[in-house]
Amino acid sequence: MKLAKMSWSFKLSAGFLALIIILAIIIPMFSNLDPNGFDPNCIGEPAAPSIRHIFGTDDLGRDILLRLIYGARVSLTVGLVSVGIMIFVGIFVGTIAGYLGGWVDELIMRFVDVFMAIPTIFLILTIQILLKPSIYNVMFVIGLTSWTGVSRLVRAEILSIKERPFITAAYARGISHLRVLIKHILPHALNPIIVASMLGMGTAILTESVLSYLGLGIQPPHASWGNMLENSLSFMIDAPWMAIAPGVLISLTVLSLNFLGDFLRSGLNPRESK
Amino acid sequence: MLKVKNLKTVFKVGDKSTVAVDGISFDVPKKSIVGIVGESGSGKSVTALSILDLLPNNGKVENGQIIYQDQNLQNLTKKEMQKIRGSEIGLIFQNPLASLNPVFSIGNQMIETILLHQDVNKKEAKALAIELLKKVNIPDPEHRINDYPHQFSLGMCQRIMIALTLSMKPTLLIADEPTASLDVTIQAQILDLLMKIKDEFDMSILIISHDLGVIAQFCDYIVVMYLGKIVEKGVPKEIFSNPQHPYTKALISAIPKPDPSAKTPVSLLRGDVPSTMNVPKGCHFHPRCPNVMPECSALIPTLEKVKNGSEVACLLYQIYPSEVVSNAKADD
Repeated sequence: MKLAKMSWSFKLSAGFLALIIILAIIIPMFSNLDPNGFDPNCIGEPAAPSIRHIFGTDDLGRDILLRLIYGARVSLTVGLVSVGIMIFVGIFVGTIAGYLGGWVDELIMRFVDVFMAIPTIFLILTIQILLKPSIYNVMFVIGLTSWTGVSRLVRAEILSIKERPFITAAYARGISHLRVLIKHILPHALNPIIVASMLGMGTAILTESVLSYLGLGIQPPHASWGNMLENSLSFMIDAPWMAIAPGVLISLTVLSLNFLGDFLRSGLNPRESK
Repeated sequence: MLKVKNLKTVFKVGDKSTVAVDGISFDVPKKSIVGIVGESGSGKSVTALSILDLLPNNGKVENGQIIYQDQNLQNLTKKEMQKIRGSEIGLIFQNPLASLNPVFSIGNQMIETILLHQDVNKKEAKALAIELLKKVNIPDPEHRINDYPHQFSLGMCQRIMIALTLSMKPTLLIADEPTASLDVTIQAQILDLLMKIKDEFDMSILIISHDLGVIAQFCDYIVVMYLGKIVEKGVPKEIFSNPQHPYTKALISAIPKPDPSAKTPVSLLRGDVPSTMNVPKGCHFHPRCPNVMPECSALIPTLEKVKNGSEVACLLYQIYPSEVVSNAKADD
């Protein structure tokens, strides 16, 4: 794949995501600025963006840019870990259903149907209320409620691939079932899995924001994009910058992830990547 | 070396079951080439898959024995059968492009196979793979080994499949319509190649085809199948110069001749091959047979030896042997 051939939307999204990841890693490593520390000059009411605070401060005089960078760590971690859980469970369940077929497939897929019928957000809310809301719970709950889509994708892919002649040919070469499954069948499902994980990461970040916004996600004083939004609620009219910065950041991040997923969908086809 | 006795393979379709291969027997002696011919749906490919226990989930060998070098393959465990596949009996398919995994380079697939069947390291495996590609006349194998299947022509893909199969050093090669999707010139190349490697690797070959012309030149023995049953088997010379079964006669008359002045052969066969779900009573061939007799719809003929040494399953040779045969001859 040549850089010049890539579309501008891919370059922009990849660049944007890279910028956020680098900032989220580097700034906390090399500076001793405290995201919870407040500027004594701005305490009491939110300060508008200025040279001192590019994105302004919140009502407690905390710098919004700094909190956004620390919040990015939370959002990206939540996105990565919950997508990791989602992919792992999804591949595992989908592979068993698709490869074994028959009544095992029937049983698993009906279970998946039931699982899909439950409105995820309420399930997550209930679990968060019952458990103590913490970043770990958020990641696990999002991961364990979002795998159904992946499992269906993987199952469908395996069902069609396992009937292809090259799979029979692989068996005819004395290759074992497990090896055929892992080496010859699963790579074909990789394409939709990667795309799904990009989209899933966007959804996970959104879900985390929703949870935090509802006060059931990342707990203050720790910063996350979601709880910064929640915080901005009461100052929406007087200090819109408190809402705009995290809101735009969430949207742009999710959008970039979706663009990236779309690009990978076409870019991963060996016939097109020559 | 391979003896198939009374093989019967059944497929389940919904509640019904259909008999794809119905009690066929044949031998593949050491270092010989045996051909199975028949139209689509005659059970040729199912026979090949039955031998290697590669039938789809709804298929099952219901009866019969498959004896390979004095062991009955049906008594083997799954693990033992896995060892037989490839290292003892190799299989190549009719669509070479579809039988190679499109997401891996051909080198990757060859090296995987070689590592599985031979005690070598990765570097030696790659050298072996290049050598085999050279043997099957792939130009510039050192570079092309990194290419993907879709970057090769169909004929090259089939040669790569042959190289892949050779890398396991099988003693029996089953070729399921190896030339079906290829140009005539490429067909000839592939058949030449098969002949060459047969001698070089000391193999037997079981070749399956719908094209008698392909098989005629180089088989030692021919088995003609129709709707899951063997209708005639014998040596090529007799099958071609002196076909006995009306179906064999029809097949031979249907071979196009490269002669512009020749008239298009009139097909001796009416209609299509019936579905195996709906097999005619009596002799399976009787609804299409030009020499049909009233008995044909009631009696199932068995394979019997006839004068020229072929074995034929046809009532013509069993009920009124001399009389009808001469009549049938007069019709030609």
